[in-house]
Amino acid sequence: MAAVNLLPSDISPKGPVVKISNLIKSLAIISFVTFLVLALGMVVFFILNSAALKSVNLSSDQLKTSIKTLEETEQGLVLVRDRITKAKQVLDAESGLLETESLGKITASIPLDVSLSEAVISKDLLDVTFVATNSQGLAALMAQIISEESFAKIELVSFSFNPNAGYVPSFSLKEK
Amino acid sequence: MKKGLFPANVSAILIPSAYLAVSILLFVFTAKTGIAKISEQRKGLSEARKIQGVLQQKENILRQIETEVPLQVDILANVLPEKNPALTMISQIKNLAAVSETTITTFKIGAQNDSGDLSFVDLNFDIDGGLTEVLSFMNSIKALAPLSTIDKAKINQAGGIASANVTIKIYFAGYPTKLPSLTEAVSDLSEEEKGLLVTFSGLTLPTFTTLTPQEPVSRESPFD
Repeated sequence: MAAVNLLPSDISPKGPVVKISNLIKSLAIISFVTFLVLALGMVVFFILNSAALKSVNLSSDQLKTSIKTLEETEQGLVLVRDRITKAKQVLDAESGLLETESLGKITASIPLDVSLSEAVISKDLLDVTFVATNSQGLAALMAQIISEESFAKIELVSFSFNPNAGYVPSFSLKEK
Repeated sequence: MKKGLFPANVSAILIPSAYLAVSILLFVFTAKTGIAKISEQRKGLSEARKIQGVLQQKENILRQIETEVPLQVDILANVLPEKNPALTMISQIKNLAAVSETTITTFKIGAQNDSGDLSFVDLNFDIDGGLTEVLSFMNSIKALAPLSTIDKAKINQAGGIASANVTIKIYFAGYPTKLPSLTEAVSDLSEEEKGLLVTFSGLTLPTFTTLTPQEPVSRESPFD
C-alpha cells in the first residue's frame, strides 16, 4: 500500500535531513538501551555485593563473639610474650656468672699445692689471689690460667713471696 | 495551518538530538554515580574480608594454644614475677643451700630499683662451705626462678673453708595492662620465643603451699 503523507510538502523535512534525523534517533535509542543495561547491571552488582558484605559482616560478628570467649587465652598469650621479652633482657644483662664459671674451672684443676686465697667477682672482671707453696705449683697455676681460653686479658697484678705461706700471685682476669 | 516553533528541518534534527542528549546525560550520570558507589562498596567488602581473615586467623591460633597457655603463664609468672620476689628468692636460696652442703648465714634485701621495663632488688647473703660447694652453689643460682644475676661476690678461703659474700639482682616487672584490639592480628610464639620458653621451663620454680581453709574450732577457756 502506498504511503500517504497529508502534511503540506513545504513543512515536511527534506532529503538529507530525514537521514540525519533517523541516524540521531537510532543513536538515541542505542544510548537509552545501553543506559538501561548499565543501570540494571549496576543494580544487580550492587545487590550481590550487599549480600556478600552482609554475609562477611555476619561471619565477622560470629568470630568476634568466639574470640571474646577466648579472651583469657589472649591475655595469657600477651602475658607470655611480655614475660619472654623482658626475661630475655635479664639474660642479656651483665652478670658475674661467666666469671664464676671460669673461677670454678680454674679451681677445679689447680694442683694440690696451690689454693685460692681470695676472689672478687664482678661484671666482666675476676680478681683472684692464689697461694702456691712451691714453684712447681706456681708454674702449673700459671699454665692453667693461660690455657683458659675464656679470658680476653690476663693481668698479673701483684706477686709476692712469703716464707711461711709461699708464692702469692694476684691476677685480674677479664672475660671475652 | 499553524506552524511549529521551529521549521520542520530543524525540528526533525532537534527533537531526536534532545532525546540523544538526555540518554547520554543519563548514561554518564548513572555510570559516574554507580561506579563510584560500587567502587566504595567493593572497598568496604575488601576491608570486611580482610578483617574476617584476621579474625579467623586469630581464632584459630587462640584455639590451638588454649590448653598450653595457662601452664606457660604459671611458669613465666614465677620466672619474672609481677611484684618484688626477694622473699621467694630467699626461700629458693635456702633450698639450694640445703642441697649444696653450704650454710647461709645472713640475708640483706636492698631497695627496689627500676630500670626501664624491668625492676630489680639487690639481695646480699653470706655463704660458708667448701670452695667447690660454694662455687657450685653460685653457678646454680642461674637455674633458679625468679631470674637473677650475680652482681658481685667476694670469696675468701682459709683452712679449707670458703666464705663468700654474694650480691645478686633479682628481677621483676609489672604485667601488661592493655590487650590488643579485637581486630588486631595475633601470632603464635616465634621459634626464638619457644626456645626461651623451654629454657625457662627448665628453671627450678618456687613451691608454694596452699593452706586449705578450716572450720573454726571452739577454744577452751583457760579460766575454767
